Amino acid sequence: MTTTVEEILERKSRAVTPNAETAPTHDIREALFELEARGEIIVQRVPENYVEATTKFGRTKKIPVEHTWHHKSCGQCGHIPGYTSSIFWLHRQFNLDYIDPTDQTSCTGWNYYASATSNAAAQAAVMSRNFAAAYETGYFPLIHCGTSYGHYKEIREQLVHHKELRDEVRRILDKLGKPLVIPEEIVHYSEWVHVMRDKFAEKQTVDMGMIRATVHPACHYYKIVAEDAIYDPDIYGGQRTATVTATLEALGIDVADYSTWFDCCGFGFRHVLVQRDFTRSFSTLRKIEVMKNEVNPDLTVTHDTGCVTTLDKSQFSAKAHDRKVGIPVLSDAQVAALAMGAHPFRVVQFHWHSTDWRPFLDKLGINWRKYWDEFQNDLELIRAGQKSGITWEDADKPAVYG
Amino acid sequence: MPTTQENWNPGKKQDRHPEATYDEKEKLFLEVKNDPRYKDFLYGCYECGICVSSCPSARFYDYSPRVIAQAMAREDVERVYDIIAEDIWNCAQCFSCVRCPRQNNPGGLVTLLREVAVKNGLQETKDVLQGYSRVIYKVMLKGNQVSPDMLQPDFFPDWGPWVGEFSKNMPVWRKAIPVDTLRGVTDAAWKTNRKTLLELYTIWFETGNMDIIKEIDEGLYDLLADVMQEELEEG
Repeated sequence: MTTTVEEILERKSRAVTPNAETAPTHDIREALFELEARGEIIVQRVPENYVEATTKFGRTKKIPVEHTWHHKSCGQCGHIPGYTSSIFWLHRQFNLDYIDPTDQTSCTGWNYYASATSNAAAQAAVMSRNFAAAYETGYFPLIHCGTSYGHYKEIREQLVHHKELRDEVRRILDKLGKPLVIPEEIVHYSEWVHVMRDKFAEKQTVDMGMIRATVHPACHYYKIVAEDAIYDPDIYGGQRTATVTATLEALGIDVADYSTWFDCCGFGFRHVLVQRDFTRSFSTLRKIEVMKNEVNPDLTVTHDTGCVTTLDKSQFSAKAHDRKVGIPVLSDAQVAALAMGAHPFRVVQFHWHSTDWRPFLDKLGINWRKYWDEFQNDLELIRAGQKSGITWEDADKPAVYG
Repeated sequence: MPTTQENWNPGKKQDRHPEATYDEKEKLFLEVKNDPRYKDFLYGCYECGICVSSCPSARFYDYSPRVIAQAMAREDVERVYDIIAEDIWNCAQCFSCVRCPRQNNPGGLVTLLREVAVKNGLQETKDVLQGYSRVIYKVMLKGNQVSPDMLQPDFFPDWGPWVGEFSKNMPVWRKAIPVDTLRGVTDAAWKTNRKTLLELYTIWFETGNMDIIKEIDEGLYDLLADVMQEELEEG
């Protein structure tokens, strides 16, 4: 019997509510607990204050609300620091207990995907060292970077399936005096944002109802070990990840769809650093220009380091070629913080972004000039040696915009 | 010569790399095939092209994840060598290709092919990574892939004139960040303990990662090894 296009479209329009019993993949957590029972690893449990979310195949994932160890992202901290400060600011608004560690290295996954100048044992040892460092504090890892999150999920699979790799990593950790620890869940910060979204909406002071945004879901969040990403039948019928989109909708933003949503941003890992012709072309021709042509958003929002950088920074040169660009780019955490009154420069740090964000703030009715002047005053005090820097004391209090 | 209908040849020339013997090519192929992860990344190929349709690199380069999966599955040693020498560095490592209905991971295969190319110090790979050495230096020594002080107009001219503002204001802008581990730090993404870095250096030596660097860039290896060994000796 022939299936018509209309029938396929109708079928695809129905919401997907997956059943964990018939999931096509094994539940990695069961394998972790088995390894723990055999004395091979320690499984760090999610702390008591958590929210359950549903993942792609209908399983339940525990997302810790607090008592978290923040595994920071090099791209965020290095080039778009308002991303990091917004994540922490959101925690602080709810007095949530967290650690911002100095006993943390990058996952080094960006370098691995860029140059392959490493190997499986080194990558697994770097991950395990970081997880052991978190375990030693008693706080649960919350991973800021999408690539770290994806990379760690893949390494977790490798550690579970390859005993020789576990043995090698354990040998190295023994030298460092650390145990082999794998957390019960590998949790991305945008999953924390996702489960906190209604609480953010309760404290929202900036109406965002007039904003139309597009979402770029980060590849390493939902394509690598796909079954760990959060899905919801109410968001895209459960056929795409719900993170970011559900948060924006909770804040009253109109999320507009566009045809190339599945495409990557063009980051390319090596490409964005040393072969940017590809990165610029892909991000502007396949993402930004398509968004502009199809829905003309005020903003595009994503949840990973590389995506924010790539989509934001690539637009300048495309403009020189008269391409249709000019969409400001933010992370979900920055949007949520802004909605709750975070200072545009002390917290959200718009000045590290390149595509013009001023029309977006104007549309929100935020008098950004006033806050820029305030920030310039901070900088003058720092330059004059009268202030060592901006602290949470300066940044914690939400602004009443006007 | 411009491409015309008469001279257009979509096929690739055979034996494009006579500089390597068949045995050398086979050695590389077997290194990939014998990697414990290989069996998790390749199960066969329907030739459906779903991986290609979602591949960003396939849109801009003469590159196909399907061809890679096919060549590996067919154990076509010559073709796999062509791929190692010419194609692997085009992959964006986004893993869009893992929507493969056979559960293949062509992006993962590329990672394995790259590892073998690096480990064996292939000239094409050395050429590709030449401009990237400073990043390897940063990540292995500081434990961070990028740092604020990399934001220089001569490194990122295509990011627009605002990059000049970053570098001009860097010291004071970095002090104006409320996060304790970021505030004032310009040569790394965040403050890292010395002990943490020593543990990282131990990992690089113990896992053979330093030998990999030596194979691909001896000068870089000398620089890194000097600093790391000195730090480790000081303890």
